[in-house]
Amino acid sequence: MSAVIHARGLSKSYGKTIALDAVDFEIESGRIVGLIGPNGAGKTTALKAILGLSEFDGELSVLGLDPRSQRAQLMEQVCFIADVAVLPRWIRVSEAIDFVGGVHPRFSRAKCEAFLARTKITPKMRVREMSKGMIVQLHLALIMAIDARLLVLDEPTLGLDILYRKTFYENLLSEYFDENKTIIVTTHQVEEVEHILTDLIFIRDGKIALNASMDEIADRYAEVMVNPDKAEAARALHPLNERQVFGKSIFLFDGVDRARLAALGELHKPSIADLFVATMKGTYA
Amino acid sequence: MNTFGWLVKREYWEHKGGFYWTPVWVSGIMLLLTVLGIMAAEVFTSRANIQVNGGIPWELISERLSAGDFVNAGLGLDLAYVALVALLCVVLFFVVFFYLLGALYDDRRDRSVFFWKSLPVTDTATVLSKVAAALLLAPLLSLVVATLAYVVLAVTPGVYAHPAASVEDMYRPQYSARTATGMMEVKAQ
Repeated sequence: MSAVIHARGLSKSYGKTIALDAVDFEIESGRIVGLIGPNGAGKTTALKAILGLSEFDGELSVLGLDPRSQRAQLMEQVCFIADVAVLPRWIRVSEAIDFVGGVHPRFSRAKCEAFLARTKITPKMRVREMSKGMIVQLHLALIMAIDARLLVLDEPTLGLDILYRKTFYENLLSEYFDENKTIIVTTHQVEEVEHILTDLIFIRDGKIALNASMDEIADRYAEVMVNPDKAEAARALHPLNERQVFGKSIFLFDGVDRARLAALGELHKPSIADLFVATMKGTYA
Repeated sequence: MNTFGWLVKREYWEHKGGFYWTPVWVSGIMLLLTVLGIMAAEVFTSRANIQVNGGIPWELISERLSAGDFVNAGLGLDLAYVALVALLCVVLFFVVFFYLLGALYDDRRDRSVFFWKSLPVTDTATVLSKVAAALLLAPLLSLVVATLAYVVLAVTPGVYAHPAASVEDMYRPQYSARTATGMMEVKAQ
């Protein structure tokens, strides 16, 4: 498998604020990568660099192209939903389909219309007449009809209700994703994406805090529910995090032998949200 | 259609109100005012002059007009055209001024720039399409609308009736007169 994105020493600063600090990473083809970090960690900056929307320092190639100088070519292979509600408010559904069909060589009109037929969206509607959820449905329909190799989603479900959020990711997985495609998604609603991700990148203060596949994470990290009498023994193993639930302590461990942990109490697979909280401890302090 | 064509079409979709409907409304109002003016003039001339001929057939007019009169009549029509176009040019100036003022900026403000930039279109093509919309599309549409309005003004086919004018001497009711009603026909060739 070849790397879809290859970054070496990727840096970007806004004045004195450093948004990305010499970041290295590689993203392979056929993965669904969650780029997760607190507000202001540099997620959007990284995505903007990948999409050729902003200048940066360092080395970055996306599908073998340089996003700074070859953005138009790159966009034939890359799609992105930068945020909810970026579709122009004046446009009609039929116009949006005509336009994308006109300028995008890899757009399939039939696919787009088939997808829209399952929604309440009609061709005559203008974007400003639609609800936020419908706008995202339209955007998704336009994007899913494009046979691109890389899809970038930056907070695609922000502000949507839970029904729209669920169907959004379901549609994405069942109808769009295959082994030739790569998806990068950033979101704060970690719980909703964790079962679809194959890889995870935690980013904090412009640096990568964790970059691993979900399998590696399941191997490395373990959560143990410990009774108070064994809590001291657990603390001796240097847990990443400790929290109290119903009088018991839950410890999060990184790379500690399973057999030793099992002796302390009940083992769990940690959720990404817990892992995130543990990793990002003290970010805003 | 190529990418550039679609980009210009996008500008037309977005600014249809300014590029198309504004000249249409302005010409429409001009036409309406002209028709009202003609009607008022007809009424006044009929009232001022007892001897109003009934409908004058075009053949009769053309027999009486010299070649020079025809040129003058032509110039008169030209003037009507120029007046219509001049007014639309003033309107066009404002339309294009505000279009250019908002171009590129509006996309950023409503964040739709992220959508446009997600498509394989170069920034150069985007900017050029806006220039083309301002310098070619808007003036061209205005000109087309002005020309159509002028044609409507000059040659709408149909039969036009003008009512009879009547004159009475208020204190000597035996003196009264009434003209014949008239008809005028403009035929499509």
